[in-house]
Amino acid sequence: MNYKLGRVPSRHDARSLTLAPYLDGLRLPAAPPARNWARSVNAPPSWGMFANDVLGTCSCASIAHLFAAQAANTGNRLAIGDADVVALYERVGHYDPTRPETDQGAQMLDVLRALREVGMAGQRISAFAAIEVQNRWQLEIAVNLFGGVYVGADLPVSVRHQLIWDVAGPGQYDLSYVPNSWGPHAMALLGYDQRNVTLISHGEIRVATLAWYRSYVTEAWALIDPLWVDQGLAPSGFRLQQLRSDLVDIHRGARSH
Amino acid sequence: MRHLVLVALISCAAPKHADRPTIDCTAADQGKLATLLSALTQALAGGGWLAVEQQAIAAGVTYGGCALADMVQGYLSPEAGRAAPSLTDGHIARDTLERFRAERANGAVFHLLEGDL
Repeated sequence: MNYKLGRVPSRHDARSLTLAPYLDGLRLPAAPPARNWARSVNAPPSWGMFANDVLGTCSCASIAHLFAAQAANTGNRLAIGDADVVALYERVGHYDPTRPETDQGAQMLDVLRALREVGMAGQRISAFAAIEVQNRWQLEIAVNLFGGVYVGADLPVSVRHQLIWDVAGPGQYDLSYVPNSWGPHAMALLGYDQRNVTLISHGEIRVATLAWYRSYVTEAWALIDPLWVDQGLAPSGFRLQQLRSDLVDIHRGARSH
Repeated sequence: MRHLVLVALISCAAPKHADRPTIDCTAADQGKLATLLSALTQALAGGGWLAVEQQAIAAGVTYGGCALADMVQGYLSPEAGRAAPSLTDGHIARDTLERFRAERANGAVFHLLEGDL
C-alpha cells in the first residue's frame, strides 16, 4: 500500500479563534474518562483513503473522515467520494491534475476556511477553533463535545512499523523517532482514553499513546459542524445550538478586526 | 550532604519513560464489581459523590477504582438521546475519579472494555 502525506504546517494567523478562553468563560461540561466516536455501530466498514495513496490529500481526506464519523454517530446519511476530497484539494492546495508538480499538500487552516465558505460534498462548517495541543483537558472536551478533532502531526518514520504509535522506549531511540522524519500529516482524531488516542489515517484506525500525541501533534482544531450540532441533543448529550451561535459570533468579530 | 541533595534532585528531574500503571478491571471478579457498582449507584442517590468516593475507597484500589471509573464513565457519556448531567455534577464526578486515581491508585489507569479509564 502506498501512503502519501500532504499537510503543509498552518501559518500563524492571529485572527484564528482559540477554544481556550471560550472554554474557561463558559465552564463547558466535563468529559468522560474515555470517548471513542469511531466505535459507532453505524461507522463505515472502511473509512476510505480518499486518494491519499496517490495524492497529498490528507488535509482534506481527514475532514471526510471527521464528517463520516459525525454522520455515523448522528444517524445522518452523508456520501463523500474521492472526487469531493480531490475537488477541495484542488481549491485549497492549488492542485492541478494536469500538472503533477502542483501536488504539494495543503494547510489545514486553508481547508477550514474553505469548509466554512464553500464546504465539501454540500457540507459546510459554521466555525472552527484552535485547541492548545498540549492541553489534554481541552482535547477531551473538544472530542466529547464536537465528535472529533482535526489534528496535524509531524509524523516520524517509526510509525510505519508500530502497531500502537508510541515514543521511543528506554534505549530504543533512533532517527526514525525524529519528528517529521516521514513528514507533516493531517488526521481525524475520534477518540481518547487515559492512555491513548484514536486516529484515522490513510483510511485506517490507528491508536497512538498520549505521549506520542504530545510529542508529534503540532496543531489541533475543533470544527463546529451543523451535522453534529443542529439536532435537539448532540450525541455527547448536550444542546449545542447556543454554543454554535456564540462561536459563530466570535468568529465574525475576529474576522472584522 | 549538599552533594547528596543535589544528586537526588538531578535524579528526580531526569527524563524517564513514564508509563502509568494499569489496573486490569476485566480480570477482576465481574460479579463483585457489579455488586459494588450497584452499591455506588445507591450511594450517589443517597449521599452524593462524597458517599460514592467513601465507598470506593473502602472497597480498595482495584474494586473501588474499577467500579468508580465504570460509574463515572457511564455518568458522563449517557446513551444516545439522553441528556448529560449538569455542568456542576459532571465536574464533581470527574474530579472524584481523578482524586481517587491520584490519592489512592498511584495515578493508575483502569482498564475496562470501554478503554483505559
